[in-house]
Formats: sequence, C-alpha cells, structure tokens
Amino acid sequence: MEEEKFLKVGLKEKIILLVLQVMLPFVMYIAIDREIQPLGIAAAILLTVSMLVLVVFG
Amino acid sequence: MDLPLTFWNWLLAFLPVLIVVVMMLAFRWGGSRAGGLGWFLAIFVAILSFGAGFKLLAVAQVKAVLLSLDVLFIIWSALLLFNISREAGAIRMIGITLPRLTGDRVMQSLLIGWLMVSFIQGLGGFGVPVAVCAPMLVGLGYTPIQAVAMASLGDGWGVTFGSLGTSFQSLMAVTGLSYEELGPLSALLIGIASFPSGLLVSVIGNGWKSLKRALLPTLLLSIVMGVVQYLLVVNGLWTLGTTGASVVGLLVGFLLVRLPTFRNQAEDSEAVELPKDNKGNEKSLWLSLLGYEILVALAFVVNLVPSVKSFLSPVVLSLDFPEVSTRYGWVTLAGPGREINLFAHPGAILLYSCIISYIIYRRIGYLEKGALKKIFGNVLKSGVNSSLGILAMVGVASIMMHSGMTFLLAEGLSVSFSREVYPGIAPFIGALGAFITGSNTNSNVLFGVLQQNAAELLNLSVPLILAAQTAGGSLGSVLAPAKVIVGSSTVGLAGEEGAVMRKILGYGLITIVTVAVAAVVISFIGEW
Repeated sequence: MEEEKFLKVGLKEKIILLVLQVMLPFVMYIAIDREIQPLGIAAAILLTVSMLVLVVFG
Repeated sequence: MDLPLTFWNWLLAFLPVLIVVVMMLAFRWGGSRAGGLGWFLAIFVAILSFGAGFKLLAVAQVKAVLLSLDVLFIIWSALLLFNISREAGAIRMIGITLPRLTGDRVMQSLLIGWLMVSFIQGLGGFGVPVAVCAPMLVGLGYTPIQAVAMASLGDGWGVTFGSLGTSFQSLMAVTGLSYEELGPLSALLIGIASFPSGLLVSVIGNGWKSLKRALLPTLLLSIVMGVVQYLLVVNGLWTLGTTGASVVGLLVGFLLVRLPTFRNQAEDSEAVELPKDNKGNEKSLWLSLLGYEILVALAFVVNLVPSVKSFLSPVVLSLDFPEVSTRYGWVTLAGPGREINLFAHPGAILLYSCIISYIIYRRIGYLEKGALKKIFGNVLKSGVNSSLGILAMVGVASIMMHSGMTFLLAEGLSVSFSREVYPGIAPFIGALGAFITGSNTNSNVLFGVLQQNAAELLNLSVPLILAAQTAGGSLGSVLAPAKVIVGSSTVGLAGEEGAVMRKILGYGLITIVTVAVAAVVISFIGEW
C-alpha cells in the first residue's frame, strides 16, 4: 500500500512556493540595502522553510 | 583565495553537484527536489568550509533569482507559444506531413532533432530549441524521453555560436582575445563535434542499428555545416555562426530527402486525414506553424535591425550589488546583476509571437472557443514545476560561484594533469562549468581566464585550450539539469527529469570525449 504523505504539495501549493521563492530574495535585498537585519533574517528563514517543504514533500 | 586546494576541499566543493546528479539519476527525483537538496548542501558547505556569511549568501540568492527570472521569462513565453501552436494543430500537422516528405526515420530525426534544433539555437537558447522541437519529435512517434534526449544532444554543438554568439562574446570579453585569435580553432572543434551530435540523435531515436544508415547523411551535413560555420566565424560573422550553418544544413537536408535513397515515403502516409479548421477545411502546415514563423521573423528583425532593437530597449531591469567576500578572501566585486531588457528580451519576442499568432489563429478558425482556458491550464501545470527547478538549480550555481567553490573545482582539475593530457581535460572543465550553471556563457566567464592561465603555465596554445573550453561548455550545457528541466517541460515530463538525465549523460559524454581527443591531436600536430 502506498504511504500517504503528511502534506501533499499540489499545483496550488507549488504556486505559493514559487511566489515565495521569487519574492523573498528581493525582501532580503531590501533588508541588506537598508540595513534592516531582522527583516533579512525573517526572509531568509521563510525562504529556507519553503525550500525544505519542496524537498521533503515536493 | 587562501583556502588550500586539497582533495578534501575539492570533494566538498563537488558535493552539491554530485548530490543533484545522484538524486536525479539513481533516485529519479525531479529537478526541483534534487535542486532543493543541492541548494541546502551548497549553503552548508559554503558556510562551514568556504567561509561564506549571511550577506554573501543573500546576495548570491538575489542574483540567482534575477538570473532565473531572465530564464523564466523565456520558459513561460515558450510554453505559451507551444500550447497555442499545439491547439492550432502544429504538432499534429508535423507528425502527418513530415512522413509524406520522407518516410526515412533517420532523415526525420536528423531534420527535426538536429538541424531544426540548431536553427532555433542560432536565434535563442536556454532550452528553447529543445522545448520547441521535442514535442515535434513526439508528434513523429518518438517517446517523450527519446524526444528530449534527441533534441538536447542535437542542440549541443550549436550553443557557442548560437544565441547570436553570446557565449563566444563572453569568452572574448574575459580573455581579452579577438575573434581572429579564438575563432578558427573554436569553429574547428565545434564543427567536429557536430558529427557525433547528429549521429547520436539518430541512435537515440532509431537504435544503434540505424548508425550505418545515418553515417553518410550525417557526415555530409556536418561537413557542410562545419565549413559554413568556420567561414562565417573567421570572417567576423560569428554572431551568425550557428544560424548560417543550420540554414544551409536544412537546405541540404531537404535536398537529400528528394533523393530516392532517402525519400522512402511511407505507404500509408497519404491516407492519414489532415485535421480540419472550424469551417471544415483541411488545415495547412504552414499556417499551423505560423506562431514559430512569426517568432523567427521577429527574432531576426529585433536582433539584426539596430533601430528596432534600440526602440525596444528603453526599459532595462537590474539591481546593483555590493562587494562580498568569504572568510578566505574569495571576492565577488560590486556591480549590477543580470540585466533584463524587458521589451527586446527573447521572452518578449516569444510573447509578441504568441499574441499575434493567437489573434490570427482565432480569425482563420484554427483555434476553438474556450481554447485559451485550456492553453493557460497547460502552461501553468508545466511552468510551475520547471520554474521551481530552475530557481533551485541556479541558486546552487550562484552560491557555488560566490563562495569560490566552482573556481576551486576547476583549479583542482587544471593542476592535476600533465601538459600532454591537458588539452583533453580542458573540454571537461568547460563542460563542468556549463553543467553546474546550465550555461556555456557562464562557464566561459567562470573558467575562461583560468584556462588561459593554465595554458600559459603549461606552455600550450592558448587559443586551442580556450577553443576546447568553449566547445566543452557548449556540449556540456545541454546536459545540465537546469536545461533538461526546460526541455522536459513541453512534453509532459515535468518532475521526471531524472529519467531524461539517465538517457543523455552517457551519450553526451561521447560528444565531449570526441572534442577532447580532437584537442589532444591538434595540440600534438601543432607541436610536431
């Protein structure tokens, strides 16, 4: 029997991941440019989580 | 860079690439998952062993997204044009019409999988030729995996002088050498590579037994294209090297299929009924292919008429980046990232072709009502998977470049081999750079100077080593996961790129080995 995935990443979820992976680096750029460190770290964490979701459940 | 070149450091630098390849080949992961895992590994290695900090990684990732957007603009527009043309019946029409011209499977595979692919490569690259021609090969009855593998290998020889010579331009820019110095040997090595490229297209499509039948036409066509390309390049028309060669190749190819030996018309090919338009008339091949005909015409006009190009070039998107460096002193200088020329971009040209062809197809009844919804649905399904894969792969390449990992990989290869062997290693260094970055241009930018230095240190011919670099980069770029993802997107193989990689890697190595042997022989003859 095929193991059921805890989280299924379908087309809608992949679109969300794609938008996040395109937008978040630009947030990091703004954070570097204006020296807003917490914003940069938050964007980096979110980006890492989005990539982790893709690798584990994609 | 202060980081010593040891086997352990070299292996660590190679780890992200290795894991991507292993996951795709052995575990059949799709490009986005394998690329994502490679991305994590690249970050760990960059931080722990290469001394990268947060700022460096952030800059590398923003540059990667900018480069990805440049590529994604092309992918989404190419997918749109392909789906509009498919709905208008283009792919089905090729599947019916080409066998009427010639029933010879070898000639069919060479015409589409080698010559047509090379022609489109002449006008614009990054996987578009494969994304366009693979579905045509599927229409001729090849499996999707065969189709992508055929088109990819058929494309390999045309990359350096394709896309209006951008890869060759980058090699001249970084090394400071002219086309008079670099052109002849580059054209010679790439001309030699065209022969195995063509043969392998036939072998993948029709099996090893087709080798004997493919030998003569492939040899004739590769000599014709090689000579035309050589003449164009040494006379300063290197921007049209692939385009000119493939146009002449296509003309000779169509003449060949007029000969009784290669005509071999299938008996039942006339019996297949042609698709009909909304008014009940049989569709025409040339009107079905209108989208691609408009694309070729627009690409020529935009790229070759300076006034049109300057009219379309007022909006350029770019970002300025600060200088970043690793703890070990590997510096990436400040400067602008990838510039996206919004209205003269290849993606924009594809988009103009989409809009014009959609309007015409609707007016002449080649598209049914409600077709647009189906078209967008298909584009979205293929585009999202491919885009995630590209973002991850380009991210890996950018992190490796900014942390000095890519340079260390090439440096390791360049110092490990003797003077006699090095001309045979140079194409593999070029191919490695293109495999990692998915681009012949990037490989030349990364490794051009390194190869130049290695050639000078070893007292070898600099033009020969640089020719081997760009020829290897050209052939290696079509094997890159990032490009395979693009090629797979239009034949329903999104997420199954690993299967395609398994098919093409071995064959691709044959073409690179051919160039390596040729470079060693030329070096030996030069000294003798």
